[in-house]
Amino acid sequence: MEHTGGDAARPFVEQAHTTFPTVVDEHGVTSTLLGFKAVPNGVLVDEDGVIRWAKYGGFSIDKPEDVEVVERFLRGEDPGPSPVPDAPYRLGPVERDLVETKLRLGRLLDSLNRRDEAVTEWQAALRLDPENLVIRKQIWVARYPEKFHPTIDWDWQREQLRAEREREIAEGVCGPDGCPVPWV
Amino acid sequence: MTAMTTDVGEMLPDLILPRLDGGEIRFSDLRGKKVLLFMWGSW
Repeated sequence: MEHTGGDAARPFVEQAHTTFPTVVDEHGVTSTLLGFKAVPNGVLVDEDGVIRWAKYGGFSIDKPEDVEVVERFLRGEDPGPSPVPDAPYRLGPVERDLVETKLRLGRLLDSLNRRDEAVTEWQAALRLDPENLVIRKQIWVARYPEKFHPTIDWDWQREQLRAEREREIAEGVCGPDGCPVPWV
Repeated sequence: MTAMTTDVGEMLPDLILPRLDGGEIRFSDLRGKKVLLFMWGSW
């Protein structure tokens, strides 16, 4: 998931000396198709192309419980039930369709260098789906590129998220406790 | 999840995504192998 292309990911991949291929999803199509709202994720796919297990948010090869599932799957055993995501999906099909349409329109506008209009569409999508961290970060990257390049300002992100959630609570977007935004 | 997203037990959608080191990968070309998709962002 890289809203600015693969260059931002390259240093991480090189540092990790990976032995597997890395692909770049610049437009968030995997997020839309699989319906996840945060990363890091692990998805196990069998020989027939069927998804057998998925953990959306918090997957790590440093977590023994995640490694165990992968090993079980590789041995040909049932990987077991998939964890429930932090932010369960609460949108109905019509809202979901609207979010998807606005994300697509935003991507199209962005590709035409009409970034302000793109951000407006993404903000409308986020308003419908406020716990979607993938959309939220896409907006941040578009509006505040200096916070992501050359280095990522994590303190800024925490403060930005806090301020946005405060505003959302004031505007009644979610309940009094705010939207359950997953945070890694 | 709604009917529009792909759930566990369903086929992984067939996507073509560019490889970081050049070329591309088509998900359906991975058939016949067990695959772990690890998804992350630098942000």
